Amino acid sequence: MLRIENLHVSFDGNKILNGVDLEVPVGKVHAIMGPNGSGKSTLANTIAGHKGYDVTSGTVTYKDLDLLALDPSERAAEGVFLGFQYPVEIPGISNMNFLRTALNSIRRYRGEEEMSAAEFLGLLREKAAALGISNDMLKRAVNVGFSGGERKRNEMLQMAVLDPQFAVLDETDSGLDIDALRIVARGINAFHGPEKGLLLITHYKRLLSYVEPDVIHVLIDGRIARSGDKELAEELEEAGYAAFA
Amino acid sequence: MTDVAAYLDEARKIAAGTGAVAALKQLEAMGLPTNKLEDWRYTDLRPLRKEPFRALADGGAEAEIAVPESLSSWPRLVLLNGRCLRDASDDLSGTGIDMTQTAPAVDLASDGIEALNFALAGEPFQLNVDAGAETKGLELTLVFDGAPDRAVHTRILLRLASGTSLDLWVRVVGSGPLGWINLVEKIELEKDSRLRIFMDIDPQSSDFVTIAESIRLAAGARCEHHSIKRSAGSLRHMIRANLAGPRANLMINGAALAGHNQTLATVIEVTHSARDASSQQFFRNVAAKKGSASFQGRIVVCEKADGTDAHQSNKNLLIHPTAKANAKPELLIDADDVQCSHGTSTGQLDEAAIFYLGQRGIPELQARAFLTTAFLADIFERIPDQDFADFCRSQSDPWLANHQGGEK
Repeated sequence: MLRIENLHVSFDGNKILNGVDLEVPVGKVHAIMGPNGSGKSTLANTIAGHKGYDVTSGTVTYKDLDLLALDPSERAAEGVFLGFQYPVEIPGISNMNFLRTALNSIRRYRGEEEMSAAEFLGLLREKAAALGISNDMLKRAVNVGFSGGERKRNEMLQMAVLDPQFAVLDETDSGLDIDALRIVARGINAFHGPEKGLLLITHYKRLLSYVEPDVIHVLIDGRIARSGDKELAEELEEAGYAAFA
Repeated sequence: MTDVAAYLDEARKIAAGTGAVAALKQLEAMGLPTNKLEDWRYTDLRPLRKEPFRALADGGAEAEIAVPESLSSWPRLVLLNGRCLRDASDDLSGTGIDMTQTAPAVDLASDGIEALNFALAGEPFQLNVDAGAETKGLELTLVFDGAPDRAVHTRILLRLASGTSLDLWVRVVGSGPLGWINLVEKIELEKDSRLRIFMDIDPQSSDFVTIAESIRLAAGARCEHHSIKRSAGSLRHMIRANLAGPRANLMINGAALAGHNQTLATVIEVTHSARDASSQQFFRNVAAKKGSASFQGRIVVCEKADGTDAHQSNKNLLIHPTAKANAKPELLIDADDVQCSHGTSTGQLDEAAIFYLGQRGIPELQARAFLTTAFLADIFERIPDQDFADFCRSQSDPWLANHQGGEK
């Protein structure tokens, strides 16, 4: 579903990714773990199309599409979703208005009819209820005044409503207490299925207790240093990242 | 700069009556403003450097003009170049609003452009709400039409008697190419009266627009002034308010959109000259490619105006790298027991937010328009008249669609 070959990426003139090779088949959950500065967020932002990241060589192919040739909104409309580590505040735009605009932009791109206000409201309420998100939160400006947990739940709500094919979740578990982590994990598991692909980026093993990955990759200095099954997370927990450097 | 003599020569032939002659003397003494005057520093005065605009005789052309549709639910008066278009206006009998036109009294102009207006506007158009009148609202549509080398000077006077109230929509609309719209409004709010102004300024293809409003509030009077303006070639909008009586309250809430190569200057001076009065100013400017938007806001608290509560907020958004904004907030305080604040900021759209919206499927141009709308949102949310708030949103969206990409 997503194939990355020999990806080299620089940011602000500094080489961050130094030849990443990775393939996530449809229906699979892959996790990327790694220390601070190893390039995890760079990989996530590059997949999503952030202009600040300069791809110097390599390819990213998504469902036979050259993903790097598309702008961020086209990637989103093709079904690629990035769950942000630090979701941005957008004063003046309600969550509800934002999500409806986003959903209808995607539908327009796909040549589908826009969703009516009533139909959208029904969908939104159903998805929000599953994540314990109140009506009040839907009316508030996007992420403005939200706690860390609320922002991450909001990311899960966006993923649920936009229903992408492939999601990259960048440290979605950071800053969450146990209860919030469970809710977010519930959102991730509700999303995952045989038609979807998922790439989890995390520092810690704890998210992987709730969302079981098929493969874990260790990213060190901009390269995949090792890949393995879920036992690899246990090994990392005991030995630390230094053992893989 | 065109010599004031050229304007004086023409004005002397036209001006009639004591008030007009007195205004001419003021014009002769003051001259026309220049950018060296602080209050005119950011106004684009280049149109005045051309051949002098000649006054449109007797209120203007008889030609057919397209009167814009009424937008409010209130009775409407339509003025073409300061003269009432009876066929397009509603009968105001029974509304509590009295309408007259009489010879202008001697008045003190604040600058040469206002003096020229006093000299050439003819009989001011006067609206009175007398004591005891049960009034609700009025839509005043000011249509301007003429020729590129002509000027229209229009003067409106409004008085609300003690205890009365009025919702007033004011629309300043350009109907065709016109050199100069010079509009002066003087508003008197007597004790405990209440006025809410909803002002739409859309001069279209006019080259030069100067609008000067003065508002005087007596004890306990309240005024809300909500506005949206789109620029002409050069547009200057001045609001000068005097909270002359204790417990008066004024809110000025506006959004201004400076288009490609256009200059838009907002100048506000709020004077607190009595105790326990309060004022709030909220202003947002958006400037497009090679556009310039400026905000000069001055709060003056006079000696003995203790208990003053005055606040001012201005934010400017540049939606193109060549756009420009100027902001000059000022507080002049001569009293001891006051609460005053001002804040201003200027910036561009947040690229992180554009990426965030893009990653959710919203294309970049749409994301930029969406974020600019959000920048204006709190101005529109503060408007208590839902029809006017909706109108402002309906005007800003297409403007943004035309100006976001940097090309028109």
